[in-house]
This record gives sequence, structure tokens and C-alpha cells, in this order.
Amino acid sequence: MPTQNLVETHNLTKEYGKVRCVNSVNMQVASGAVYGFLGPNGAGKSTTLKMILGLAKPTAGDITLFDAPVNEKNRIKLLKQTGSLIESPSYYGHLTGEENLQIIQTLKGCSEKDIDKVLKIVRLHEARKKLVNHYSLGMKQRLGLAAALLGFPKLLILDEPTNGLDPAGIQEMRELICTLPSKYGITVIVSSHLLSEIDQMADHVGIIRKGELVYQNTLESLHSHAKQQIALRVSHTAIALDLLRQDGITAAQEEDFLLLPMLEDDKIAFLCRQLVAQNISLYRIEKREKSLEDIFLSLTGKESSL
Amino acid sequence: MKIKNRNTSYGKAVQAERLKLRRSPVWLAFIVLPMISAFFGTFNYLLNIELLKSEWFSLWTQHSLFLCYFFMPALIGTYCSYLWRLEHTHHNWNSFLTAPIPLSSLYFGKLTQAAFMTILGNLWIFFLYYVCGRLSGLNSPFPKEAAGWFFFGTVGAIAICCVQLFFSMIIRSFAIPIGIAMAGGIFGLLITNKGMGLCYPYSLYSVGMRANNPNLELHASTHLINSLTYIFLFTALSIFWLRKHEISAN
Amino acid sequence: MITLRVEFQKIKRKKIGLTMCALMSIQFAWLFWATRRPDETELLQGWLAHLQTQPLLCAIMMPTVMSVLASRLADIEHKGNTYKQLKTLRTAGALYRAKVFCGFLFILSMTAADFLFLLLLGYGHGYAGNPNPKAYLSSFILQIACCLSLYLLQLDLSMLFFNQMIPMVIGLCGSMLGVILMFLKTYSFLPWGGFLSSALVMMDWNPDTRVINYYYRDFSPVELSALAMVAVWIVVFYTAGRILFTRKES
Repeated sequence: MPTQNLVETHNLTKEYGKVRCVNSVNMQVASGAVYGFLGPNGAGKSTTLKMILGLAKPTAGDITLFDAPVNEKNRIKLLKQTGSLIESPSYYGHLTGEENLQIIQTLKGCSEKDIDKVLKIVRLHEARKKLVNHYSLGMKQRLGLAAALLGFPKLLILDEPTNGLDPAGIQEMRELICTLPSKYGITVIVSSHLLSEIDQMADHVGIIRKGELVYQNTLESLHSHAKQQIALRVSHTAIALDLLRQDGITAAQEEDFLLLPMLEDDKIAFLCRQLVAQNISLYRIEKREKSLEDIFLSLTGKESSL
Repeated sequence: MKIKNRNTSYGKAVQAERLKLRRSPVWLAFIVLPMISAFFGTFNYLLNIELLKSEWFSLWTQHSLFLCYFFMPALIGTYCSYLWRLEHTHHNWNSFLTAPIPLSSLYFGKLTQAAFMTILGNLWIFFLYYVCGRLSGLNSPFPKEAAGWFFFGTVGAIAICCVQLFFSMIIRSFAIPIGIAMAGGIFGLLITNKGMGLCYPYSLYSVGMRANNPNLELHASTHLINSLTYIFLFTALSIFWLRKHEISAN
Repeated sequence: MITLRVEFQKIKRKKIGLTMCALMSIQFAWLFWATRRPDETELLQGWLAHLQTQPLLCAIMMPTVMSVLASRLADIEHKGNTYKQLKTLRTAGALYRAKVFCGFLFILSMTAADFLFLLLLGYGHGYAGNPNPKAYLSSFILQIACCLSLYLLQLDLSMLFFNQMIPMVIGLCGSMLGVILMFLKTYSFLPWGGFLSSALVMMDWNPDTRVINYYYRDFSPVELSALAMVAVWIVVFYTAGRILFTRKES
């Protein structure tokens, strides 16, 4: 895994009026990663991505892209290496898909052959001569992706790219995104409000909640949080906690229960004997499983729906 | 219009604007509107030929009166609104502003398109003037003053382009900037009547064209300086606004 | 009624009222400027003169004002792509009616403001006598009718074409025709000629004495039928719009 960060934000903050949409976000996207940017609607995903692209100006904090600060001076240089699809696809409806790509290709100054390539990648080469006004929403979305891919930039920023796609289209989009780093050396930031989606595409994940980045690590590490646990309910919780600590077991108290990491059978049997020896009554021993969904909800808060 | 150097960012921006205007016959408006004016202007000239004795100059008053005061400013406004409507619809601001092109080039791409269309429209007006004159039986030579009318009219029209491009860029609505253009043109009539036409952008066109008044002695340097001032001022305002502009959340 | 209320909710924050006020104020400025410092004969004929200049002003301004209004009201649906959604909520006919009525209310208030301003101006200058209530009321109703016919035409065009350039250009060309025809004849059967056909007062200018004389117009049968055309256009454009709107798929 490459360790160099392609995108870094430092205490990135954005206020609209008095509302703080993005609050001290320190985002780190490793080169070659598919970085899943996860959060409920309105959590500040789009705003953060817009700031990275220079479409919105930070209230505070700064952004580094490819080791250069994002500012007016570097704008063109950085945009040249970036492709993006923010919110909804941009398009000129009275032109064909191909003509739309020609405009982007002209502005990006990349090879005309790229148009063919990206059309094939997003499987629009058959509809290339059709007016975009007659495209379905999914086709427009794929055209947007094709436009973002033009010139095969180092960094691709995709904001909710599966919006408006049918299940097959969503699957296709995911598979496509997964292959971008290995096939074309593109680092991808992809936002979504669906954990399952990020779970299938990303290898790194950042979770944003009410403007704050509440979690950021590899997807693997998020999964490790999803481990099973042992829950104990006893008559004297405080004494039991002390006892466990003496045994070198870290336990957390949650309501009436003590939560222990998953232990081997022998170890549990040993613990039970110890507790009983101390005259502590043992009411329950349960095995608990915390799903990825639960972790996500506990991080983003249950009140914010998915 | 062939842009030779497509590698400069300005060349790219102009090329992109040209591509965007494919399949939309918006240029037709610049053909039709002067035709209406020329047709009825000539008709009226022929009806009143006893009263209108100054031949080419008389014909010019009939051709230019309404066109230059009200309708060309409004038409230029419509065209500028169309150029920006392309970006105001279908989330194109996102892609427009993430193009790896300096914002000033993006603006000059639009201005070039608007100015190009305006120049063409103006050429067409003078072509119609010539043809109608010959068809009406005017055998005297075509007035050489017309070159000056064309030049100063065009410079004034480009000033209007800059003002309208600015309004159409900052106002998302298609129609409101056109209302501004029309109101601007009508208000310009009052201002021109007060003798202040050279200070007001919407009058620079009609005054430059010597609309309805071919014998007017134009204060050429004032016209030129004022036109260039408006062009520069509104270009600066537009680019400044583009720099400050943010795409708000949804 | 609910549909109408929704219509007004939709245009909240769209500042249509403000736009219309701005355009009206241009008209007021013109009127004010045109009648400033009246001499004795002008004071004597002031009330009559109003009824002659008002249709003239309207003929120049209203076609564009109406296309701006119609385009604003229709463009909300284009931009939001909301036709489909709306049609699932209300019948297409009711929706069209609401759009028409919404525009009608704008026209009504603008015309009322117009005539209020005329009265203020007249009494302010101290014109001789009082305005003829019958003539003023007729002119008021006729102005509303003419505006409505143009509004309906523009509304139909604005909803028919996504590209708002097309209705705006048609509106521009039409108003240009109307204005030019005004100088050729006293009536015209075109939709844009309505204002001119409906002028109750005409003007007589004696080039030798330089005296302007205003008089009530004696409508000839042709002129009367031109006036009746306004009503025909209203019916035609309303019916056409309803059919168009009901059949519109997207």
C-alpha cells in the first residue's frame, strides 16, 4: 500500500452564514486508494469535495493536492490532473454525448482518442450520436463519469456517482470504480450515503457526520471493529470490572452489561469461576455481534437516517 | 471562425464555446430582426420619398431608427443570456469551473462569441442597407460615412455585450437580463435626447450607428474611450465575480 | 384556486414582481419625461394626449415585458423539469389555467399602476378638466386585453420550447413589427398590433403651424375588426396553449 497522500486537508472548515457545514476536517487520501467518503445526506460531503476542487472556498484550514496547496495560483495545474463528477452530471442537452465530450476534451486539451476510450469504458459508444436530452438519467450519469475520465487524470472525485442508476448500473459503476486504480493508476474519492456501497468499492473510508470527520482509516480496520464481543451481566459490576482488569482484560461498561473482547472458551470458564469465587452472581453471558451497519450508525448517529 | 492556435487556453475556450452552440440556430435571430427593420424601413422610405430627400441618408434613418434604439440592445441581451443559460442549466457550472482553463479565458470565450455574433449582425445590417438602397433605385455612390457608422456602432455594441454578459452571468434567469437590455435601450433614448448618449453604455451603439441622425458629428475619441471604459469595467467585474463565485450546496 | 396559490408559491423569491416594477418604472420615467413642463396647449389637451401616448409606449415595451413575464413563469418548470411531477398532481388544464391567471393578475396590477400613474401625472401637472371616465375605463380594459393576448402567445411559446431564446426572439421580432407598423398604418391584425388598433385617441400634427391636435378616433369598419382581432387572438392563444399543454409529454 503506497503511503504517500494524494489529498490532505488540514482543519478544513466551511461556514455558510452561521451554519458550519464542514468542521475541522483532516482528510487523508492515500495515492492509489479508492477512498469512500461516507455520511448521511447533508453531512457536508459535497461541500468538502467542492472545496477540494476549488468550487467553494474554505472558511478556514487548507488543502493539499499532489503536494501543492489548493489556491488561485495552482488552480489550473491541479485541475488538469483531476476529474470530477459533483452532485448531478453536467451536460448540454441539445448536443450529442460525443459532442459533450468534445467540449470537455477541448478544454482539458487531451487527446481526441480519449473520447473513444472513455465512451467504451462507460459503455456509451452506441449512444454517442444521441442527443443527451434523450438519455436516461443513468446514461447521463455515465456520460458524466466519461467526462470525468477524459485525459485519465491522477485523481477522480465522484460525488454520489450511483445516484439515479438502476441496480445493474450501480453494480457496473462499482466494478468500474474498483478497477480504476489498478488499470489506469487513478486515485478515486467516491462519496455515498450508503455503507454497503462503500463497502464494495472502497479500500479506505472516511465517515463524516454533521460536518465532522468521525472516522478515517482503512476499510479493513472498520471491519475489525465489527468483531464479536462477550457481554456479561453480573450482580456487582464495579467489582467485576476491577477483577477483569487484574486479569489483563479490557472491558467496557455499557448500561448493565460489561463488554469484553471475544475470548477463548477456557478463558471464559476461568473468569466465571473467579467471579463466583468472589461471591458475584452471574446473570447472563451473551455473545454479541456488532455489524458494520451498527458501527456506522453509532458513528453517524441513529437520528440521521441513511 | 477558425481558431488557429487551439493550444492556448483562450483558443480552447473559444473552441469550446463554438462547440456548445452547435445545433442551436440562435444566429437566425441576428438575420431575421434586421431584415424586418430593413424591409419596412425601405417600404416607408419609398412611401414618403417626397418628404425624405436625402437619398442614402434618408434611407438610413428609416433602417436604423427602431433597430438601433430598442431591438439590437435587446437582441444582444438575448444572445448573452443564451450563452450563459448554457451554464445555468443542467449543473454546467460545476464542469465549467473545473475546466483547467483560467477563468479569464473562459470569460473571453463567451465575449468572443457574443462580439463575433454582434459584428456579423452589424455587417448584415449594412449589407441590407446597401441592397435595399440599390433596389430602391438609389444610384448615387454608397455613403463612405457608413464605414464610420459601422465601426463606432460595433464598438458600442461590444460595450453592450460586456454589460449584458455580466448581468446574464450573475442572474440565473434567462428573461430578466433581456428586460434590463430593453429597459436600458429605452432609457438610452431619453439619455441620448439629453445629449448624454456617450456616457451611457446602451446608447453607445445607437449613437455610434448615427441611428436616425446620419448627420450627427460624433465626438469620436469620447465615444471610443467611453466604450472601451465600459468594456474594460464590465470585463473586470465579470472576471472578479467568477473568481469569487462559489457553487453553493445544492 | 389551490393550483393558483401553488403557482404563486413557486415564484416566491423569483422576484418577478420586482422585475415587473423595474420595467414599469422605466415606462413611468419616460411618461414623466415626455410630459415635463407642459405648455398651455398641452395642459389643455393633457388628458386626451395620455390616451394617445399610452398605447404607443405599450406597443414598444409590453411585448418584451410580456415575454419576460411568460418566460419567467414557464422557465421554472423547464429548469426544475417539473412538468411530469405537476401533471401527476393536477390536471393539465387546471395547471395551464393557473399559469394564465397568475399572469393575468400581474397584468391587472401593472395596468392599474399604469393608469394610477397617468392620473397622478395629470392632476400633478394640473391638466384642464377631468379625464373622461368612459374613455379611460375603455382604454384600461383594452390595455389589459392587449397585454393578455401577448402574454398568452408568449406563455405558449415559452412552454413549447425549452430553449427560451426562441420565444424571446419571436417576441422581439413581433414587437419590432408592431412598432414599425404603427408608423405605417393606424391598425394591424398582428397580435403585436393590438395596442395600436386599440388607441382611442389619435394625433394630428400640422407641420406648418407646428400645432398638435388630439381627437377621439372614429373607428372605421376595418379598424374595428382589427380591434376585434385582439379578442380573437386571446381565444386562439388560450385554446392553443391548453391543447399544447395537455398534450405535452415531458
